[in-house]
Amino acid sequence: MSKTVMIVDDSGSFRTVVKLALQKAGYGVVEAVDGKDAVGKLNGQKLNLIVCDVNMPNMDGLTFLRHLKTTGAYKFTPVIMLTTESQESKKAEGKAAGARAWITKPFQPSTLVDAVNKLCV
Amino acid sequence: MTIRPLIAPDATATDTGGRPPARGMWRLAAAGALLLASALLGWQGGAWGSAAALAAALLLPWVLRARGSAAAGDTEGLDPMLDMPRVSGGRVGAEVMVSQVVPVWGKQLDITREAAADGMAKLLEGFSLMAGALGDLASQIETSQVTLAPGAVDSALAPDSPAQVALQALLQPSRRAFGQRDAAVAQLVNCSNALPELRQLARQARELGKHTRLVAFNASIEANRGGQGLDGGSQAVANETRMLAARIAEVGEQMERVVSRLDREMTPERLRGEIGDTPPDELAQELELAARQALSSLLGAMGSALRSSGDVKAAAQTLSSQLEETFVNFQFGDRLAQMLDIVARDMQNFAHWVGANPYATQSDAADWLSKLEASYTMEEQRSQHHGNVHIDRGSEIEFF
Repeated sequence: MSKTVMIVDDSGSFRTVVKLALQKAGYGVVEAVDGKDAVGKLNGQKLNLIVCDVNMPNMDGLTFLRHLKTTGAYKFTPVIMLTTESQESKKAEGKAAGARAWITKPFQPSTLVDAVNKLCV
Repeated sequence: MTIRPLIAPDATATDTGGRPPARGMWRLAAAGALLLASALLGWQGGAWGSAAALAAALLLPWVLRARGSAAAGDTEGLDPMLDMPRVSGGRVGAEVMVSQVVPVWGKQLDITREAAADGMAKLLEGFSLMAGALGDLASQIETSQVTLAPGAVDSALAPDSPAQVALQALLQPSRRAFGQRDAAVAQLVNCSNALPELRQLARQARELGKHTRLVAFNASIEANRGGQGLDGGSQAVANETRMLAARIAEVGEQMERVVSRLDREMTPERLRGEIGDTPPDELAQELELAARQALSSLLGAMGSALRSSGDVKAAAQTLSSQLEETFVNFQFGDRLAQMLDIVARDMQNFAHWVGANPYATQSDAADWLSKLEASYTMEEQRSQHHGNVHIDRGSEIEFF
């Protein structure tokens, strides 16, 4: 059974790139358009990893990450932040909130797949 | 969609609403002259002075009304496509201009951003499908390639492998034929072992013939010695007995000759020599070796046929990596859409702020710029804000 990765990004084209790269590597994919949508789609389903943008409407990525870490079922689900944000202060926030990696856009699909392979539980 | 530009405010400011500009200037000059004359005459006093002052008082409202009409004409030069409300009197404030013009720009930015995002998504999907197809092709070629690296044949013929099973099936009829041949040779050797006994029997038959002839001869002598002549019947029996003895002896000689010939030709050494000096196990090994050589030649032919496929695979991999690079480049288009979105929102906020604060100061401008800088999410935005050259460092990954 293939592992499932959730992609949280308000940009449809970024979700497309990430989805196709991960599907090609054999992963199942669940999409969410922002943090709020992602919270609604958790539903107790098994997620092996989450790829999340930072700057999004309704609920930003760091808020979603903090929410995730207080949810028992997903407390240990690894999260990769995939964002245009490159400020060290933001990275530190992400690290403190429990992110496992920080990838700056634009990204190489193969780089993302390597990171997912490394962190996917 | 064509966007018609605004007419420059400086150009409209001199428009007098359909009146020739020179006529307004003359009225302004006349009013000025009257004011100057009344002031001078009033200062000197007298009836002329009072009359001039009265005339000036009557003419001034007309002159000023004419100027007011000219000022109202300032708003009539704006493009009607922008749906600007026409102001019947007074100057349009900057806050009104900003609050009505900026949203139009914002709408154009929104349309551009949405078009860019949609186009980008479709392009990305198309390229992704192409990349997937190329990847599948490369992996199919990869899995179908047969290499002739050292040990490739041994590897292909590993115990219990399909190739080994097929090889054993190929060798099985030959091995069965070898077994049948060996059994036949063994039987012939056994037969050759019986030849001496057969020769002995032939000699005995020849001896038996000699003795029979001798018996017939003696019987004939004994009959004649007794004075008794042989009658016709006895003579016939004696003759037949002699002939029989002669035949027995002849058959015995013939048998001995045949046995001698067989004995010469069917010695075990000779029989084994005829089938060669190679032991059966060695023959089987030779057969297996020949089969392996045939397999190796076959694999070699397949390998050379697939070498051209290797070129195709390399081309597919190159193309695939170029497509991946294209995906990265397309992401800049997405960033463009994001930046347009940000600029549109900032413009809208700016328009609202200016509407509420018509008398902005330099401090307000600095505050706005500071807030803008704080809202940036991309390094190039921060760089461009200060007019610096942005150095793209490419994708970065940092594990925590």
